[in-house]
Amino acid sequence: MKKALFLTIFAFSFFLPLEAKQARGPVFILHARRGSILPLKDPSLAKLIMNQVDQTVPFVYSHPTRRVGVEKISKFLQRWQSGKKLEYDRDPPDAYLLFYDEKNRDNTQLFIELLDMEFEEEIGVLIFKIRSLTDQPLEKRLTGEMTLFVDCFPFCL
Amino acid sequence: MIFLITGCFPQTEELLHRPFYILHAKRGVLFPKPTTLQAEGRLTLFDVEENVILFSEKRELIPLSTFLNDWIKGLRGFEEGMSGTAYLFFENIEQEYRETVVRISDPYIDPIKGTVSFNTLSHEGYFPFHEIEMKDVMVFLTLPRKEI
Repeated sequence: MKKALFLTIFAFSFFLPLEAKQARGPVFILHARRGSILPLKDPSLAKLIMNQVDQTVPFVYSHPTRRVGVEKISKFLQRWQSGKKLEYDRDPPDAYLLFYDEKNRDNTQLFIELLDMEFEEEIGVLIFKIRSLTDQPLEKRLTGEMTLFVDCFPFCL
Repeated sequence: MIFLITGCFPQTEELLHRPFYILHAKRGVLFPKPTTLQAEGRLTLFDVEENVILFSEKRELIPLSTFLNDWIKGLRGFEEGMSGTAYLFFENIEQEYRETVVRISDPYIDPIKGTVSFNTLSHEGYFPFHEIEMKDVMVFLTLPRKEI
C-alpha cells in the first residue's frame, strides 16, 4: 500500500510541473519588421535574427481566464534573464514562429525551442539560438515581418 | 515576484470566446465627434504594420490590406458593415501607458496619407472619451467572424 502511494506521488511529481506550466502562463508575442534564419552546423539548430523588433510586447493570458496586455521589451528581457537562472538551461521555452511568405502569399510556420537570446538594444535586433521541434529542417530564410509566439515561462504572471 | 504588466484587460465574453486580431501602429489619434456628446468618434492609426496577427486556435499573419478589404466587403467569414471591440494600449503624450476600449466599425484606408481610420463608439464603462494622441498603439480587436 505504502509502495503504491509512493509510486503515485512519484509519478505526479513528474507530470504536475508540466501541467502547471501549460496552465499558468501567457503567450508573449514578439514582432519584427524583418527577420532571418541562419542554419548552424547541426541541421536542427539555427540563429533566428529579428530586426527592428517592436519595443512593445503584447501577451495573451488564457488560463484560468483570458486576458490581454502589453509590456515593454525591457521587462520581457528581465523575465527571460530571471527564468534562465532558474530553468531555461534544462527546459527552454517553446515557441511558434510565423512569417508571411510574399512569394507564396501564405504563412510559413516553425515550431522551435529558444535556447539562448541576445538583444542588441541600440539597433533593435533580437537574436535567438533555436532548435527545431519537428522534422522540418531549419533552412536559410530572409523574411519580411515575422512573429514569434513564446509560450509561458516557468514562472508567469 | 515582481509583476511586470504594463496594462491588462480583464476577461470579457468577447475575449474569451472569439478569435482576435492584433494591429500595431506607431501613432494614433482618437477624437470625439463634437455633436454627439462624445460617445461617437473617430480613430485614426498612422504607420500601421503590414500584417495583422490573428490569435485563435489557429495563428496567422494576414496582410493588413487583405484583412481590411475582407472586413469592408464582408468576405471570408466577415459580415458586411459589422463592428468589433477594440482594446487599445498606447503611450500618451505624458509618456504614460494607458488603455481604453471602443467599439469600431467602417474601416477606411487612406492610401495617400497611409492611414487607417475607423468610426468609434464608446464602450460601456469607458465613456465619454476625449481627444487622445497616442504613440505605439497596440489594438486587440475582436470581430464576429464566422468559421471558414
